[in-house]
Amino acid sequence: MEDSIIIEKFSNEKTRNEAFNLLLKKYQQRIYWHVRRLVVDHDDADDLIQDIFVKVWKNLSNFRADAQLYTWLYRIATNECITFLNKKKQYQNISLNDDSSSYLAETLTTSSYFNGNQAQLKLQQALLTLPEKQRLVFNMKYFDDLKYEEISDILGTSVGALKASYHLAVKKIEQFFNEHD
Amino acid sequence: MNRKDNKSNHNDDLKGIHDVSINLMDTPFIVPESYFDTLPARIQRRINIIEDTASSFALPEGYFDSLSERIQTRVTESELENAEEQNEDLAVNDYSFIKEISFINELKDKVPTTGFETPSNYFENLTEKIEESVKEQRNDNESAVSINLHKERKLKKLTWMGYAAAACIAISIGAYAFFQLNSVNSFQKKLHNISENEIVSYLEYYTEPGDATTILETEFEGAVQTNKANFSEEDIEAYLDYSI
Repeated sequence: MEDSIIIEKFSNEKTRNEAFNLLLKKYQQRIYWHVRRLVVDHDDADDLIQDIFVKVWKNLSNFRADAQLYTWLYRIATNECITFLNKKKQYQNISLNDDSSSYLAETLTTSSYFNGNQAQLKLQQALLTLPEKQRLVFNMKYFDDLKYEEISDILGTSVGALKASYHLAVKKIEQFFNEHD
Repeated sequence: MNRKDNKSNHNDDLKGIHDVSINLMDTPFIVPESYFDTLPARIQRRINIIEDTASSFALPEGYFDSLSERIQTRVTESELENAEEQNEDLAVNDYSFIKEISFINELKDKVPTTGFETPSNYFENLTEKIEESVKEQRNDNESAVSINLHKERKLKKLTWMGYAAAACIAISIGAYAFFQLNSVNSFQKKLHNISENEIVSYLEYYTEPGDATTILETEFEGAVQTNKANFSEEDIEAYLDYSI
């Protein structure tokens, strides 16, 4: 189903619920995994995904058709995740200036919904040493195969800066793998 | 020149030297007029400028913690831009990018997914769960709207009741005051309408023996008070001197 049709149906009061159902079926998994990769814990991701789509419901009628629907969804999801992670940092008395995500490492090892092999665990551990922005960019490029232009739309950052962030992230991950072989 | 004259000249010389030395102890420098009057204000102004300048160069908290990371990103970004400007195919020509791509390809072979799992049938129920959340939110909003409407109506009703009560109180006070004033006025009006002759004839006809005493007492007191007011202290003393 085309995004434009979903948006058109949503603008009609009679077909609004149907449109939202179509939107959920099309994007919920993609957004869930984006959120899950950022917050690591399933329960947190589950709470967030509901909040995100409630926000989508409230604001979809204001969505401008000149943007891509999925980049808009990613943007809402990313902002919600960053807000959530900042709150979590504050709750754990971690300075907001501490840019790494190492405070999530414990969540990764204690989570009952992580069943990765050694390599998967190592990649996640390496990702949690990165600054938040590099982790975000790497995730979107590596797992979602998004183009720099798309990531630029989502994060509001220049393509050049995104390329640099990704390049640095890869270098650090490679270094992490070399050190932990 | 005799010895006395020599001594006198010597004393004059010494005096001159003393005056010069006193003048030398004073600084030969001069300052502009009112220099020291305005000096504290000018020093304070300079302190303010220094403080303002210092605060304008204040850094955000933790600025240096992330500075090296940001510089590194900017340097890499710049390198990438330069390479693009030279129309180089990054993936082919630049050794570090070839290395990076080969590492990523290897990694993707080894780690194609995250390893995260979800509870079984999670996505089957997720749509329903989200729709339920949206429905709850809508109900909350609707009930909030209806509560607000109800409150608004109640508030309007209460406002009108308040106005009505205030109006009732105002009317009651006004009516009471009106009747009170009217009753006083009516008594005075009636009194005013009775002629003096009528009052005199009434008093003549209805006077009791006790009334005469009362009138006399009142008259006498009034007369004494009036007289007191008319005599000065000197008159009274003269009268007393004369009479005793």
